[in-house]
Amino acid sequence: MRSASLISFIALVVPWVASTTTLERLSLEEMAAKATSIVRGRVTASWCAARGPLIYTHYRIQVTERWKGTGASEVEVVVPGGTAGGVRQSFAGTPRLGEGAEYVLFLWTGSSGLTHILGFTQGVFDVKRDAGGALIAARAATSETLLDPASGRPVTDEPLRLKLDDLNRRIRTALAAPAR
Amino acid sequence: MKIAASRTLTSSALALWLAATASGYYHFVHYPSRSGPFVAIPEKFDLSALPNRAVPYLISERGPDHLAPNDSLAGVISQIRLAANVWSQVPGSELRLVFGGFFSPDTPRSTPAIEILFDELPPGVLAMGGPVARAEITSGNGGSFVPIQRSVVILRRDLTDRPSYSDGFFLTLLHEMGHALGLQHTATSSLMSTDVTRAVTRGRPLTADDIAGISLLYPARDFGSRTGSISGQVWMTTGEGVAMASVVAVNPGGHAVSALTHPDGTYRIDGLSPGQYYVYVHPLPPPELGPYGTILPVDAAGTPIPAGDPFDALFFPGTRNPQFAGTITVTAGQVTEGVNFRVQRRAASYLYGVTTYSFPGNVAVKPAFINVNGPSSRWFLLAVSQGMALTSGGAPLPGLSVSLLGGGAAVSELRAYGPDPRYLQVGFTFNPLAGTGPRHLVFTYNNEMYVLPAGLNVVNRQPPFIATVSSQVDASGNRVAVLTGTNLTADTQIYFDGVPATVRSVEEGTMVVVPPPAPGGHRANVLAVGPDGQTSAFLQGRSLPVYEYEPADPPAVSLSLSALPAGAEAAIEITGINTSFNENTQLGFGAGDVSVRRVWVLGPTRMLANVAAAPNASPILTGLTVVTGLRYFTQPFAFQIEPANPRLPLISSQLRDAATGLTSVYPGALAAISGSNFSTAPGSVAVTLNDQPVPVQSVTSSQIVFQIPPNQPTGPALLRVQSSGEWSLPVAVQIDPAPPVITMLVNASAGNTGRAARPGDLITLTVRGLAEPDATVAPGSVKVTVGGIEHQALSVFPATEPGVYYVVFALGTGVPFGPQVPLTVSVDQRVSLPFYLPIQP
Repeated sequence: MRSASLISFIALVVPWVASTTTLERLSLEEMAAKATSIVRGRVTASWCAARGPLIYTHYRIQVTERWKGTGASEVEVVVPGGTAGGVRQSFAGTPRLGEGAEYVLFLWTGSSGLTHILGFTQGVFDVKRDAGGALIAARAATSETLLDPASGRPVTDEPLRLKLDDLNRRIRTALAAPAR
Repeated sequence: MKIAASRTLTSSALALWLAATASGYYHFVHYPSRSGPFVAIPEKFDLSALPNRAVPYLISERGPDHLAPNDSLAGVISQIRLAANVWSQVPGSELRLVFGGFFSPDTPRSTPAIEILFDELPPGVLAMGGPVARAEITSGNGGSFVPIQRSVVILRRDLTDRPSYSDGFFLTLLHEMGHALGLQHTATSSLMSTDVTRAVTRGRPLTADDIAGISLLYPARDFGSRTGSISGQVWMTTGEGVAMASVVAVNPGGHAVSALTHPDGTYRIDGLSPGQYYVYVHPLPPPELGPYGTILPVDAAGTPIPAGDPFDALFFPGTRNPQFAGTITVTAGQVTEGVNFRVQRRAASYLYGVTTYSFPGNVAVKPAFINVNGPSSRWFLLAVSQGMALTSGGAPLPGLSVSLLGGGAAVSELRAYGPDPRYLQVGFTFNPLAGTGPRHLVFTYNNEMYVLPAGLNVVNRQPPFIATVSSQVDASGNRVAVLTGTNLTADTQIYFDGVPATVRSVEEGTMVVVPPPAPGGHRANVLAVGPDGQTSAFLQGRSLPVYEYEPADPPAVSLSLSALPAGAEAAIEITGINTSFNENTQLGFGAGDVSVRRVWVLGPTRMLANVAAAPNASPILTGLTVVTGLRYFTQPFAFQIEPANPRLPLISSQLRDAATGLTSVYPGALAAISGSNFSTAPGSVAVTLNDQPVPVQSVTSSQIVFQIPPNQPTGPALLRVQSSGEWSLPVAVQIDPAPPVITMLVNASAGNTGRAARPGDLITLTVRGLAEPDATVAPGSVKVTVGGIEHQALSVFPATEPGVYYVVFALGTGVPFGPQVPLTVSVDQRVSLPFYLPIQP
C-alpha cells in the first residue's frame, strides 16, 4: 500500500521549489521617493520566463493613472517566481498579481532595464471598492524580515488600508517635499 | 509548582529513527498523500551524489557593484566563506560546504550546488535564498527526500547600505544560506526565524533549533542516538487535528527546538539533547500563514495543504500559566510519546512576534543581553510586538503580563519606555547564584499567551570593546596587530572582516594577534567576539576599528596541469608567487563539475591537489580561484574540461586498505585502488608510487590491489597506473603511519568485579602507534567508536613505554548491548582493528 502511494506520488508530482526573501521596511514616503514610477493599473497579461537560475513572472499592466514618472500606457513588470520549463519556483515575500485585478504599484527600473516592484509585497496595493462604493487601496503585512534602513534593526510591518484618493494625496505630498 | 508529567508518558526506542527524519521541522515539505499517516518528505541536497559528500558553493564572478567605505570584495568573500563554515561545523550534522570558486552563471554544469549571486534587487529587498531546481523524489538511508539540484542566495549588487562586516549582512547571508540548504522559517528565536524574533549574534549564530533542523536533513551517524524526541498530537477542542501548529520544546536555561504538526495534528520534535523540557504549542504568527509567509507543504499534485485555524497557545499539560507547566524528560535515543494538546480555536491571534532590545552601551542590541554584574539601572529590556501594541497611553497595556519561564530571574517592573513610549520596558531582578544563558519570556494578555524563547540573554560581563588597532613588527620580524580595549580575554576571538586572526598573547587590556593574509593595502574591519555571544559591535555598532595592511605585490598562481578529461582525476601542483598558502587555503574551479578532492600544502608557495572532473561534465573552459585568508587570486579560463578519453585508465585517489577496507593505508600494507579501463590480461597492468614500480597483487576491471613498499615514506605520494600501455594521469595518495593497535582495556568503574561494561563506565585503553613517541596527542583528535557510537576521548597521555598511550573515555548511553561489542580507536583517518568487549544495560 505504501509503495503504491509512493509510485503515484512520483507520477503526479509537479516540480516545485520555494525560496524566501529578506525585506527592508520602507515608509510610504521612502517608497515614493525611491520608486522610478508609480502607476495605477490593471493586469492584462502574465507569463513566465527564466533569467539565469531564476524564473520570473512578467506582468503586463495597462496603466490608467501615472502618479510618478513618465512612460507608455503599458508597462511590463517582473516578479521572481513562476513556472517555466516544467519547473515552478516560489519565493516567499514576493507578490502574485491577479490577471484583471487593479493595483497601485510602486515600480523601480534598474540598470538592466527590468522593472521590478519596489520592496516586493510592500509596493503592491490592491484597489477595490468598499461597502460604501469608495475606492480603497490596501496592502497586507508581510512576515518576511524587515529591517529599518536607518538603524539596521528589525522592525515590524503593518497592514495599510486607505482611500485611494488619500494614498494619491500622500504620495503627491511626499514627492513635493524637498529631498532630504 | 512543577508537574512531573513525564511519568504519565510512554517512551519508545528510536529503532527506525533514520526512517523518519525531518518528521516535523520547518523544512520544505512534500506529502505523498493528503490522508494520514503523514510522512514528511523534505527537500535537501543528496550528499551521496556529491564529490566528497560536500555541497559546493560558487560565487558569481560578477560581484557587488557598489560597496560601503572600508568594505571590499575580499571582505564579502570572507563573510561568505565564514557563513559556509558555520553551516559546515554543526555538531550532529555531516553537512559540509566546499568552496567552488568564482563562476560564470552561463557555465553549464551537472553537479548540484549553491550559487551566490549579486543581482539587481529593487529597493526594499535585501536578499533572497532557497532551492530553485530539484530532481524527482528519491530514497536514501534517511528515507525519501526531494534532491535539490540548484539553490541560490541572491544578494544585492549595491551593498552601500549593508557593508559585509555588519551583523545584518552576515546574519542575513547565513539565514538565506540556511534556506538554500533546505530550512524554512521557524518561530523559536533561531537563525532561521525571521529577523523580528531572531535571537542570534555573530558570536553565536546558531541555536539548538537550527542545529536540529540541519542535522535532521543531513544527520551525522550518531545524531539519532545522542538525541531524543517528543511526539504527540494537537487537536482542537472540537476534535479535529490542527495542521501547522508550532510545537516547541524549550529547556529552561537553553534554547528551543520546534516542529510543525502534520495535517492531522500529529508531530514529533527530534534532535533534543537529553534533559528536561517545557513543551508548548502556538499557532504560527498570522503573517507566516499569509500568502507571503511560510511555504506551505504540498501534496503529490503540488497543491498546498493549508494550516489550521488560529488557537490559544498552551503549555503542556494544558495551561497558560507557566507556573503550572509540566516538564518532559527527554532521553537519548528515545521518543517520549503522548505529549498531546487540546486547544481552543480563536478568531485571530494578536500577541506574537515580540522583538527585544537592550543597551549594553549606546547601541540598541537585539536580542536583549543583560549583564548581571553591570549596573542594575541597565537591568531592563525593551519589547515591541508585531501583532499589537504592548503599551497604551504611556503605560503598559492593561491586562498584559510578562514573566520568565524557569527560575533565576524575575520580572520586577513593566512600564512604557520614557524616550519612546511605544516600547514596553521590562525590568528584572536576578538571583546572584543563577547561571548565565538564554531566558524565555512569557507574555499573556486576555486569553492569549505568547512565548519568546531566548528573548533575554543573561551574561556576567560587558561585551568586548576594541579601542585601537595598530600594526607592529614582532621580534622575529613578523607583522602583528596590537589591539587595546576592554574585555579582551583569552577566549575572545578576533575577526579581520570574516577571517579569524591567530591570537598570540593576551594581557590586561592588550591583545596581540597575527592578522590573516590579505591583499596589500587592504583595510580590514576588526571585530571581537566573546565566548558568551557578545561582540564588540554591541558597543561599537558598524564603526569598527580598521586595520590597514602594508602594501604588497599581488599574488600569481600557476597550475602544473590545465586540462582534464571528463571523468578523470589528477594531481595538480599549484605554484604561487607572493602567496602564503596554509591549511585554510581553498581553491575552486568555478564549476561544480570540477571538484577538489584533497589538498596538501607543501609550503607558502606550493600546494598539491587532487582535482576531478565529473563523468558527465560538458567540455568547458573555467576559472581558477585560490583563497587564503582575505587574499584571493582569480584567473578566468585557467582550466579546461575535455571530452572523456575512452582509453585512458581512470583512477580514484581514495586508496583503501585491502584487508580492512579502511581509507588509511600505510607502508607494507596491501592497498586497493579503484577505477576503470583496467586490463585484466596477465602482466598488462603496472603501478608506480613516485615513479617507482610497486608489486601488483591482483587486478579486476575496476580494482587493482598492490603492496605499498615497507620503506615508503609517509605523506603524499604520486601514484600512476599503466594499463595496456596507456598511462593514467597521476593522483596523489596519502601514505599514513601504521594504524593504532589496542593492546589492553581496563574498566575502572567495574573494578575487580569482572562484570561487563555499562554505560557511564570510565574505560582506559592502552594503545600502541597512536602517534610518534613523545608526541602530545590532543584528546579532541582521538575518537573511540563503540558499537558504531562515536565517543570523544576524555584524556590521552603517554605510558612509560615509548610509543604507547593511554586513552580514557566514558562509555556513553546509546551503545548497543551484547557479549562482543566492537570498539575501535581512531586518530585522523587511521582506525585500529576492533577490540571486543561485553556491554550490559
